[in-house]
Amino acid sequence: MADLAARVRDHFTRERWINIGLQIGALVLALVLTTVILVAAGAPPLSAYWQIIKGAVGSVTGFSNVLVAWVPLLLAASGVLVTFAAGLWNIGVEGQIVFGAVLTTWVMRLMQDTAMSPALVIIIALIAGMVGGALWAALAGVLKTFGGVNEIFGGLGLNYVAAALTLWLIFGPWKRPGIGSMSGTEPFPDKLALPTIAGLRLSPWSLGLGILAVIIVYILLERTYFGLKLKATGASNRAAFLLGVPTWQYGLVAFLACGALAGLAGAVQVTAVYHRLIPSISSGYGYLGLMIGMLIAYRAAWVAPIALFFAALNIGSIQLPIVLKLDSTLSGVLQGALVLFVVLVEGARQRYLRRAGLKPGGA
Amino acid sequence: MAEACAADQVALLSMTGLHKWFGGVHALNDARMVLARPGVVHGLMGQNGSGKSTLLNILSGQISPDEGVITMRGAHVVFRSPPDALAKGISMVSQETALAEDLTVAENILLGRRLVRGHTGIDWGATRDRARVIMEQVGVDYDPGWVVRTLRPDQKQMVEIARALSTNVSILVLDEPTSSLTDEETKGLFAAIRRLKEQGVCVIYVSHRLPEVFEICDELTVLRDGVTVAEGPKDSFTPHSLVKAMVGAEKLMAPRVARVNEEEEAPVLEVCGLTAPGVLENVNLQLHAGEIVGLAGLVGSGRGELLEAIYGLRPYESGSILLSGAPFKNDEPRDAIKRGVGFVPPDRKTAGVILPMAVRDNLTMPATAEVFRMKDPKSGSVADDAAATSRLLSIKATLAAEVRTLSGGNQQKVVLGKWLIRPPKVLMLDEPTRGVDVAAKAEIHRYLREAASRGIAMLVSSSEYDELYEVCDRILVFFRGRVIAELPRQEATEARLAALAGGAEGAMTQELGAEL
Repeated sequence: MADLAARVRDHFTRERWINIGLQIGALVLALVLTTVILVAAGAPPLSAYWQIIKGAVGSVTGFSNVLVAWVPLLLAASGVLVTFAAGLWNIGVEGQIVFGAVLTTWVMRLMQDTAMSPALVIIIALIAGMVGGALWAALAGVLKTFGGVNEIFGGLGLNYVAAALTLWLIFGPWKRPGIGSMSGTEPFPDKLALPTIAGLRLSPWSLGLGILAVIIVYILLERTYFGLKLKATGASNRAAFLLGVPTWQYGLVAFLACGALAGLAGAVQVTAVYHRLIPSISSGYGYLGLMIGMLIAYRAAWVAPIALFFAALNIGSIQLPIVLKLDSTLSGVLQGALVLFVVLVEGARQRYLRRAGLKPGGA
Repeated sequence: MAEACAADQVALLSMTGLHKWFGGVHALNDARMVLARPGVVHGLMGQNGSGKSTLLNILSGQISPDEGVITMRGAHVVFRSPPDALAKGISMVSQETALAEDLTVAENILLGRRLVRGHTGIDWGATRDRARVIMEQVGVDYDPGWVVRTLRPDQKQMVEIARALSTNVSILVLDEPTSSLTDEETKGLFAAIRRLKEQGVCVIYVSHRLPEVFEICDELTVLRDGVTVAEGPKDSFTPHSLVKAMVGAEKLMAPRVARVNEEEEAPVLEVCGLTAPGVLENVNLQLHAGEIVGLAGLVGSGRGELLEAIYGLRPYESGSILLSGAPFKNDEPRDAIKRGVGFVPPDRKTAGVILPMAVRDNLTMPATAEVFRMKDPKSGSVADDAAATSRLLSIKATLAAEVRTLSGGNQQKVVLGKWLIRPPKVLMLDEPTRGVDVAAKAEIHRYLREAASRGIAMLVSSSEYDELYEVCDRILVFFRGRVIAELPRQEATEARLAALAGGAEGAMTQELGAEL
């Protein structure tokens, strides 16, 4: 009983309420900034927001599309969280999605004309995607661990390599019969697609994979010694090393796990959404996943809702060019502003706490 | 007295009646230091915590005194900031080098000075010439175009001194300049100091090493507990009287109940001829179960480095380490932990605890080092033991509280508690009570003795001599990588340890030991 009372007290301290207030303040600031931009662009802000909401949740088709976009975001963001926990900025997650998609496409091209059952082909293709993402992440990890290349630069470089590789494949070895085009490779037969709900683009299988990934990552980070030590590596590499944590090995494992999840996102895009490899197969989901990771600052429990919110913004703004002659990148402005203000507010809070001397370690 | 007053009026620098409080700590309590005339080397002496650093920080403008009068050449001065102190002719070379490693010598010397400017920016030719002139002042002749990273420690030291001299300096402060230099390199430094002296520069020289102080200094000021307890020309001191002034009235040893097995038993840890060039020289050590052995010495003398070598953090060239009679050589702390050796590092905030993590998470870390666990760290036997340990050490925080919100004393209890959940055979502690208040310090000492009585063998490295004879059965004294003395607790006095750690000759320390 006393324990429960203490937990309730711990949970609702004054500091916590202030934090919640600050987060809401950051959201308001992001909306204000976006509104200013809309006004400057000569667009009516309120109807723009209304269009976004309507586009995202105004119809079953709209909302199912939000869920379609949710899946790769869930996978990318939960992967990013694993590397964040280890103190690694895996900017390369975008390239890992792309390379996962490439390997998935390769495996399916090899097996689409064999007598293998379609279900088995899809399973192998999904695993191939995970392996591809993990391989691409391992490159960044090895560069970091053994080559001293910061994972931000290594990852960024590998993103461009992956994008260039995709283009080369689409216009070169994997080009459509006749002439290669930006529309991608020859689509796979329908039997090799993850089954979707009738009339919609949403596949319950991919949705299940996304949710499963979030749950696994949550348990791993919050409920195991493995996650604890991973976080220790990220919080203080030196202290963790002295306490017997094999720090660089854990860093590599984090890269592999993130890469596998990102690669799965790429595989899902190929098998369930586009049914082929296209140049923009990732559509920036990796970078969005990073933004979500920054926004929620390690807290695995927040991946699902925030990713859903971001997916809704993306899908909701698709109608903007048609209805209001606005570019659909408005959702990106809002997402970017939100991350910026949340990080800013957190930085200001830390600074205030140090000034006020409430927190040791500022000196 | 009248003479002193007259001298004060024309003194190059006079700091008198200085007081400084940090919270409840009275760091300076009527301290004074007077540099009568230019061209002298003035030694500033004192144990750790005597107020030396506070005094130097006031002099270099980093903090301001709460009370006190500072004059230069008879005029009142206030040092508002380090640049302000620099403008007034006071330059400080601190203990740890603060050079930009990837820049050249010339760039480092003139960094931020903006002395040399051509029409289109920096006049590199003039910069190098100016750097060369300054380097000649300290008597070094290496190329100003060399990159600092490629220099030896003593060469870096010279660059720092040259940088300090790049403005019009009348007082140069050298804080422990020889701590990372070899004997040969120290000779070069002293030649440079004598050269500066001839040029009329006043040098304030801070060091713990007695022979050096007597070699280079002309006059001395001794601080103890924030008070200037002695000052005067070097000849008015003997090594003996200097140590006495630094240490004060001899404190009596706390009687530690001797619980070491008198009968011969095999040592738990044995170090034979351990050598890492420049760091450790032929170190031998035997440690028995339940025994606490203290390691005394200055920073960099090898006491902390020995612990690092045993824990797998520092490579060594020759020699061997035996744990329970079996060879013990590991590449990583993880291996040491598996074999039953624990380590409390000296820098608590960066290496001892993981500040943004919970007390429980910190406590359970080493106990689960040897296994790959997928279990929930918030429950299970290790978590229960963590809770019990937290209660045992009366850590004043919940298990879920982040360690950074704890006081220094409680943080240090967490550092110690980690090793008490699954106790190792050998626990090594480097500065186990640094930055901890007096009450927590006494508690930690009690826990250490209790742990020893349960059979844990301990190595305690500390710069605080009272701590060493508070908890240790015997004390090894390190000087420049060697064990130069081994004293049973009964024979260890603060004065004797201080003298030995400062490299004083054996004869003198025996005399001290006999007399005090």
